[in-house]
Amino acid sequence: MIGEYHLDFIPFEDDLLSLELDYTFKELYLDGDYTSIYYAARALMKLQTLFGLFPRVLGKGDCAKHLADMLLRMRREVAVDDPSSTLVVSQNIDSLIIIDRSVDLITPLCTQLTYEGLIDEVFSIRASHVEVDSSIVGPAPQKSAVGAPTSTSTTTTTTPSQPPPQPQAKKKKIALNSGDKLFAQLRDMNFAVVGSVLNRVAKRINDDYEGRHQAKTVAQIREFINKLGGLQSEHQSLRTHTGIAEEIMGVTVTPEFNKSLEVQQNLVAGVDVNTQNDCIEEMINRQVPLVQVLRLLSLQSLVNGGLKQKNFEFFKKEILQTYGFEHLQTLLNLEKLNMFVKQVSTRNPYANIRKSLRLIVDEVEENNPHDISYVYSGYAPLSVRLLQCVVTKGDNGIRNNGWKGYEDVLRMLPGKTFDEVQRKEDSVIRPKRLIQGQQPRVTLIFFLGGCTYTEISAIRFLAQQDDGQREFVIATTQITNGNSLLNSIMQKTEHPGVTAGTL
Amino acid sequence: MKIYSLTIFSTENDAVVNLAGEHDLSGFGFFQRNSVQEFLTFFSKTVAERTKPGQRQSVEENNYVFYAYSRTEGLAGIMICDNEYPQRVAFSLLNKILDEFLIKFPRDKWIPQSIVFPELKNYLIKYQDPKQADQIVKVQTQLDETKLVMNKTIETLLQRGEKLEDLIDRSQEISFQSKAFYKQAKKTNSCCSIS
Repeated sequence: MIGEYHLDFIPFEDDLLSLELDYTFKELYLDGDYTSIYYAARALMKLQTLFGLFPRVLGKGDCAKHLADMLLRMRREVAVDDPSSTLVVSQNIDSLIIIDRSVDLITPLCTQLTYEGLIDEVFSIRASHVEVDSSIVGPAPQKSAVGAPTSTSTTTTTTPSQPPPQPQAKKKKIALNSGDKLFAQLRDMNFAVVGSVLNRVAKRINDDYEGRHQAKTVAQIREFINKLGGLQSEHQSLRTHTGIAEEIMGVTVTPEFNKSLEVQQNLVAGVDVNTQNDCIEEMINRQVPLVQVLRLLSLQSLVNGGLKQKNFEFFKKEILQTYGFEHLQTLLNLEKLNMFVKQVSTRNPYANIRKSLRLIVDEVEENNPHDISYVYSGYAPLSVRLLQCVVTKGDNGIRNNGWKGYEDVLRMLPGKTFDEVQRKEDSVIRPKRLIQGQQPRVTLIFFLGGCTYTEISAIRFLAQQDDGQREFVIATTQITNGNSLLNSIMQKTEHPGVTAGTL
Repeated sequence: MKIYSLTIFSTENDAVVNLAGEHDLSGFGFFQRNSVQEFLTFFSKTVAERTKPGQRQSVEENNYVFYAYSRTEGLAGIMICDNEYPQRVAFSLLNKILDEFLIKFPRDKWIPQSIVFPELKNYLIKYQDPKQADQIVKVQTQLDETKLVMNKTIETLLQRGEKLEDLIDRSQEISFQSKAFYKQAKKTNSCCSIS
């Protein structure tokens, strides 16, 4: 008896589900292979059978529209196959919002600046785990030479009888999820404040340890011992994250990183294009990994509606000569994706989009952010701004007004816009007004083609802002970043010398 | 500190009768012992007569302290020791021997000459060193020792692995300047805007 096991959504956190389909970006937008839309629809259908029909399905993007249509069709199919099944409208979920990656390619191309985002950029997070050098998370091997091996923090301690062991180059896999309380606190913060938080936590743990001097009676000592286990694991967690943060800082202080960041921020702010081109040219000359160069060039192409002819030809030549002629295919792929093209008309909708959606925010308070733009230190992810259009209160006081009021902006973005209400039989479902004391409404947002850790952080920020009236659950085909996105469409060959690198 | 004598009296019928008694007179010269013993017995009886049932009391006389515990069952225990002997230990000892006596000899057996109570002698010897014998004191000393060991263990545990002080310093060094650029860009390019 053979059956099929449908492994659909994998829950990474209470508010994060992923299908872990790594190649959807390439398949959907380059190959025209819509299989992943089917898998997404099937997974969402399963959610509907469990939690009820989504009263409202909205979204932006052509593939997103395909997904919505497929969902509606699946629902009708279920009704046909099994007439006795009654799908009721969901009590908790108030809407499904589908965002197509192709609507916002700018966001993943920018370097993520949240703690978890930077870990992904520097180390590459796979299935909520990172692999790092064990020296980052354990005490330096020289100290632990004599005596019993230290706690289970390292997997590399040698037998005690040897003289000081050589530093091991082994890797250790670390789980990054909200089970680690310290990580849960740090993950969505801008990296600028991570150091001070770690510092505060270190001082607090130190004070707690000092509390042992206050314990005089047996009861107090027992209480301290009970706390000790928790303090030790916090201490280990602190050690790990201090190590990771130091490694990341090692990258962020380099002039290469800062230059790249400057180019990105100038491009997104629409400033001084020509100087940016000089910088990019210099990077190619220095043989910086191609993926970094392509991130910046694609970004430029997207925000300016393409490159001027002579710049376009120039960069094409430089790339082929520096990185290899196989990348002709890479550049053709990018052209097909509309990510690296020649400018055809001077009309560029991006400037208007940037203004109407307020994508650039000058005053960014990293310690206590008031806007989602903190995740890129001044740029608000376009995709999440679109989400904000839908969920913030409209003028008539009703939340979840759909796309009303933003039709102009939406027209400027590529892809279809849609807003459907799912009917049960013939009755229309009205979005319920939230009564005081009721459970918060859940809005499900689905990223088709991948989403980044910064987008997740930004959405979590929105959830906090709303006084607990609304919860967001984020679902995606996979979690991605600029490197994985571009690597999936880059031509690969065995090429000695330059290879596609990180960051 | 020393216990000189332990005596048990029956206090019924308004007549105090000596039921059992043990003495430790090793501190006295050989020829004095008889008179001392008489003296102790006489004093014990007097104190027992003057102690109401259910009452505990202590009487001090020169260097000697008399601890008396009179129980409602009609028994009284008198202990004579020097003034260094801890009071709590004395009373717990009296309590103990009276309990044991009651268990061993029910009321009808309280005939002075026929009582053989060797435990009394044992207790007298054992309790010469209150620290050894007394449960509470024993537990207290053990506790203090354990606390010391505990503190030492915790110290060594916390020394292992990376010191917190190091982590505090390292985390102070971590910094990240990210938002300089937008502001810079705005300043230098406020006149131009790229379409």
